[in-house]
Amino acid sequence: MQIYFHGFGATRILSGYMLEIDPLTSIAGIRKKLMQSIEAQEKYASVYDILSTTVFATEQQVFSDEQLIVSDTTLHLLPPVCGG
Amino acid sequence: MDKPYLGQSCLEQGYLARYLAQQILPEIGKIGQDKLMASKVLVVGCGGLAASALTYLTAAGVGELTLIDDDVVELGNLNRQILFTEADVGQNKAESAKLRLSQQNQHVKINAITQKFNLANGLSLVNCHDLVLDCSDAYSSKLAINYCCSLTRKPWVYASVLGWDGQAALLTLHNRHAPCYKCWQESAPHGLRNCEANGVLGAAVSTVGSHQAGLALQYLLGYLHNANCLWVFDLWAMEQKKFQLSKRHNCKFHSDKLENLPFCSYEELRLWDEYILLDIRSGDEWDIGHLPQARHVSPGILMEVEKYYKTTQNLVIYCNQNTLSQLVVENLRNLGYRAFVLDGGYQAYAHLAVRKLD
Ligand SMILES: [Zn+2]
Repeated sequence: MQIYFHGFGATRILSGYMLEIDPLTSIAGIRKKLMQSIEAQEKYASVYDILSTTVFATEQQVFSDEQLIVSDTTLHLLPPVCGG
Repeated sequence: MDKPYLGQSCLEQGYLARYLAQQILPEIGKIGQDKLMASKVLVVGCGGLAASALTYLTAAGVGELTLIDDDVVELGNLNRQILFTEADVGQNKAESAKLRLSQQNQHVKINAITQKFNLANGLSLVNCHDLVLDCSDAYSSKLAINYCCSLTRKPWVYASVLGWDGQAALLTLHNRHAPCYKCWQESAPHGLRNCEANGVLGAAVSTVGSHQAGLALQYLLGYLHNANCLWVFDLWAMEQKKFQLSKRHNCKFHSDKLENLPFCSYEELRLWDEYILLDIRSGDEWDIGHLPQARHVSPGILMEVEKYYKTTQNLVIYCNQNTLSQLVVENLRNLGYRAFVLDGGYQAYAHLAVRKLD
């Protein structure tokens, strides 16, 4: 299946990025694949570490790590923000 | 709170004119305005988010606002913390904000606490307010708010900003099915993800703070249609999106039985040489019935635990069904105490209770 990414904030650089992933992969699995996929690319160096604590969401719903993705979709990346 | 705001006195004191523009909204009206005037809101942190949120809560006539912040105003705050002027540099933020907001609306009661919000002072503060606004700038503060609101079953409005971006969510923790902060933000953000290290745009902070005020006012008016959703703002892309949040089944703030916590039964206690049985339910529940040999304490036991108990004593905690007691025991253990959860809570042993009518 094809997973497209749309990044908010610090992950904005990943908007439009696409990964081919097996159906029924969990969010944790997709996170891992995404990190592996960008690891060697210098242009994504600033976002690599942030992905480990970034929240993933579909068009309407925030997903936990165990949630399985079954078909093509766009995943929104919501990086952590802590300022006030 | 004194109640000069309600009924005819509102007209007499010019309240009607002051709030007319919002009171004619069908969603507010006279009843809604009275609800706002009778509400008490705790605001944690008095920086950039609070500048917008507090300005609108004060303007809207929320009855009582308690501001807590131990930080002082610095010149580098002024690009976004628009409650303050150059003359406030070096002054405590809660005190300075109180002064400014009191000038904005003299009818709002404003309290300033010049301390850092933490577990020690947080439980009792949260407990005596209707709603908590998270305008803090650290993950640890957000966790402390989440913890205190989980324990006391109070709703809170989370918000955070960074760079051009922000998030906000109304978490209705008085409802046991509602998600908490840890349900979606499981681990601490990687590295330093704060305004000083990464930069922040004042307009982004103001946008999120205003949104936070909107969520707070909706809750105080009794509207929950935007509850338990995460709002994400990106001012660079000029995007705003809403995502539904749900309770995570393995979130420790909601699980029926936490792993690695010591549980004991009431029968087992009889075999122990020494223990102190602590009931952390409400005073009313305690009055109706409690277990023999128990002492009543508030969940705020954590605030002054060292004053009353030693780390060598066996502290056995119970609430109604183990939800609160597990959180308290976990925290007491983190503080080095020999704390245990009474398995099944009060409900499992209610038949043994000493009752008021007995
Ligand atoms: Zn949770």
